[in-house]
Amino acid sequence: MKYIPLVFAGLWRKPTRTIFTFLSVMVAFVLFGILASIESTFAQQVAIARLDRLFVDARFGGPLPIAYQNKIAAIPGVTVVEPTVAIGGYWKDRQNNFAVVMADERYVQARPEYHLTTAQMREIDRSRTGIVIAKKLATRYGWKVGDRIPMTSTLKQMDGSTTWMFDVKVITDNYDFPNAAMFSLGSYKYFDEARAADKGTVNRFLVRISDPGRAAAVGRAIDNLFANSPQPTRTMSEKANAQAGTASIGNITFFTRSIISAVLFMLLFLTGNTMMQSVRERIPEFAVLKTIGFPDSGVLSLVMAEAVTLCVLAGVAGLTLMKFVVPLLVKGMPGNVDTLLQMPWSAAVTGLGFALLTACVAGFFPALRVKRLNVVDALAGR
Amino acid sequence: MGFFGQTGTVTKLGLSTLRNRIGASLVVVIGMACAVGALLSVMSLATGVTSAISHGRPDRALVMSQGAQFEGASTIKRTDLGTIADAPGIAKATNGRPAVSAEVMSNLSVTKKSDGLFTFLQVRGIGPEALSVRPEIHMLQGRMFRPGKFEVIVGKNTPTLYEGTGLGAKLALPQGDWTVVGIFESGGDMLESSVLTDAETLASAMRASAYKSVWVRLQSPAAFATLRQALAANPSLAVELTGESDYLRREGANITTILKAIAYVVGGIMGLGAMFGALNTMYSAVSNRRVEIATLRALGFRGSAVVFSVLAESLGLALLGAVIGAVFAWAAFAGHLQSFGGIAIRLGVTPGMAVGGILFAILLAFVGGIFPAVKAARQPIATAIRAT
Repeated sequence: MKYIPLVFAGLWRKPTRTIFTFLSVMVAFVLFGILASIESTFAQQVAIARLDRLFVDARFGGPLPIAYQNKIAAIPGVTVVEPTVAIGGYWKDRQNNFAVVMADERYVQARPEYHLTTAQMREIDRSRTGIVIAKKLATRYGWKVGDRIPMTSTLKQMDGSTTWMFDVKVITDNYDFPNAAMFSLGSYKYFDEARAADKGTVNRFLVRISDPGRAAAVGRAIDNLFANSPQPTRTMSEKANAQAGTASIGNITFFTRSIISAVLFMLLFLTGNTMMQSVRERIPEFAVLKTIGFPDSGVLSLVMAEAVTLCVLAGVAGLTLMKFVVPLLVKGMPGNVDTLLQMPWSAAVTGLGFALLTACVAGFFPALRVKRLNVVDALAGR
Repeated sequence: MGFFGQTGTVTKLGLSTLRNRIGASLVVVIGMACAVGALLSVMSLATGVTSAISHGRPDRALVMSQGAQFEGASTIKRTDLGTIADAPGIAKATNGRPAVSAEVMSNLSVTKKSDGLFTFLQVRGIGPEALSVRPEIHMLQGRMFRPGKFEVIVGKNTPTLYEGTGLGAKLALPQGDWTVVGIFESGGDMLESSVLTDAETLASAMRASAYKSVWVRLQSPAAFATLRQALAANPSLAVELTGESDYLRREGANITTILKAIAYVVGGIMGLGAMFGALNTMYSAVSNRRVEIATLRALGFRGSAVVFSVLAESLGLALLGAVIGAVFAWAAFAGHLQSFGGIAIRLGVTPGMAVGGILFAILLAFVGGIFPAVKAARQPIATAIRAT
């Protein structure tokens, strides 16, 4: 502990050099934080996707008859079948797009993460135009309970109009992904009565099964049921869907890890060089320390401590910026930028680990040089 | 000795001692190489997407139902096809019929060779005059599909990227197995990673009662307005005409914006880190050379010559690093074929991008060099010359 002032004195010997090194390490860890956040968001989406929830879609596109629901429900292991249709459009301006999933009270069991009650979904059905919206969607467009939202879509109603009216009844959140999802739910019954075409059809059945281990088997059973019908199905678990969805935009892990490696590689040279220069300038000083009785391991630890202090402090600064300041900067940005850049604490810990590792590798050779220093030669300036 | 002569001498002197500062100089080279390499690598993805969607022809357009933003949301009644084909401004095929192709879409789930996961490929049913609407389609292997048979042709990138889609393969499409009878190229556009077949055969297999869109080749790019007005003026049609280039841009604008933003954020932050590294290196360089620089100043060399020589060293190191980074990105990614959201894109590192990356590094090196350079030129000669 008593050597702490000595460590800081060593670092502060050339303030400009230390500050610039500190700043590069700091920005590097901001970048690390950004990449780690992106990677963890996608990984989390796959991790959280359930094996016991299946998506039944039309194999070749187009709508599926709602009558399929009874046949699917009769398959052993199926606990809930929820028909859904999504309708997309915009509010006031083409930029303000949103989609409403038309469903019924079975949605409560189909997606328990939304913490809805059967009573709420019945109220949606009863009011016909009522919708449940995600907190994030409500915040984005400033909608409150009781607001009437017109949606301009391309989908025609019986009277020829393409504007659908919705009334906000409930604002809720996805408790697995707080503040992330932008969902909204309406009444399938109302929608199916009002629409002009494709009555009695759905886009997707959400199916819950009792045994996640039988996801593939139940999926095959469903697909076999309709294989020879005019509208065959394609069933997959939410997890398989999430994996493919994440992979379709490229190999994210490969991408983020390559860049993180490039950043760490750059840092290693940068801090290594700083430590090397700093040590070279102070050779006579270390010789003096050794002369007055510092052991070889003592001076070695001193140099290592300097490297660790510099890297870890800069790493902490960068990760703190990422954790607390960056979310404020990207607040309100379009898309899901703000959810993508929520750095989990686990990533911060990994980041600190990398800072420590960089310090150890970068400080090792300069420290070794000081350890092996010959006092007589060094003092003589040889 | 003139200004340039002086600068040259000071620079040469600096370079001759560079060997002693090799470690520190490497920091600039490696920093810039990493920053430029990362910037160009991410940009290569954006370039790939841009080039996949940049094949729009000014004399080609598509008719979709009013308000539809993309083909999937559009419906064109079968009975409207004749009216659309007879509208003015549409070119004639060699057989004298209007160059129109009423199209329907389905999708095929395929397994990617790269990671074994599935993705969806577009299966497009095209009309009998489709080849005069899309003259860039040429058969490479096999033959054209025959209408009425369950036959398809696939783009040349399809078999490269996806399992079981080569010549002779059976694809699970509506109502059973469809045979791949040919492989085509299409001038590098998105169709090269899709599947084509006859529109009527596909529509009847899907029991689709309407088309999704009608593609047309115009007599000339100028005929676009004529056709657009004619279609809008017809009260029996509720359709809109969109130019192909506009349509593709709309499809790809979001994703290229996102990719470019990622490239700039990643490259920008790494560049910032590299710049601090350059500042460090150049400060230590002028500090090492202070006796030598003070001596030159005492001999009558101008301060500006010192500034330029220090800058030249910083820029030279950065240039070397940037070139290494650009070459790395080019060697690792350029020309690489990748499946991206169901379309095949060819990653690209263009000379323009490389120049941009190099200029970026030079800008950073300028900032990283100018402050140490000025400091070197301003140091009091008398004290500096005695320093040890």
